[in-house]
Amino acid sequence: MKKLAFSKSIYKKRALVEAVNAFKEHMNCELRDNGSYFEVVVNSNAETLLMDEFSNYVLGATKKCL
Amino acid sequence: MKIVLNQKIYPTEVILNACYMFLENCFIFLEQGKKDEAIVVYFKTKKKKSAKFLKSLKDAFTNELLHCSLRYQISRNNKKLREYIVGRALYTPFSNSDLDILEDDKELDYVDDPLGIAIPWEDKFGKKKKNEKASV
Repeated sequence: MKKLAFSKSIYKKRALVEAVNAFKEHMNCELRDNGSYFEVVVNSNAETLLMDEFSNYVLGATKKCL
Repeated sequence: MKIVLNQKIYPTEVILNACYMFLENCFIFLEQGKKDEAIVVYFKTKKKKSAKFLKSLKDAFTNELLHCSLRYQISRNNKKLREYIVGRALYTPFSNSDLDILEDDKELDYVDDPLGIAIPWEDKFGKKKKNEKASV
């Protein structure tokens, strides 16, 4: 199990939800609220490359939310 | 590679816009710095690249930050003007000439086609050549 933490002051929840939906076919992940961070818990054995692509997707989606 | 940016100088919107331009070449992750006003940008190239490339990437990113800051500033300065123009365009009432056109349209039936829009291209241009050949 791996965790990705996204700061609430930078990333938007809408972007994270969109990214989780977009990647659900490739990796099993869950969005959690952890104080000042959103946590994405990846249950499957996802590769580092996929996780990096995920964070890039979230960044792009956040930019579009502005 | 990481770059620490001050949010007083570069607002979050500017940093996001600049990062967006580099998503194609590298993986980027943003984190809130230890100080509240700082954002840390982590870069990871998609393919293994030399240190020289990373240096040039950093330089390009700082330039892009300045570019985005300028655009952000201009957009903020022109906000009222843009709102005024769009508001004017949306809320301007119909002129008399527009109303005349609408009234003329009422007399037309939906079957009428005064401008010949409903005629297919083949009927208008395509069959002429065939007919010409047939007549010859």
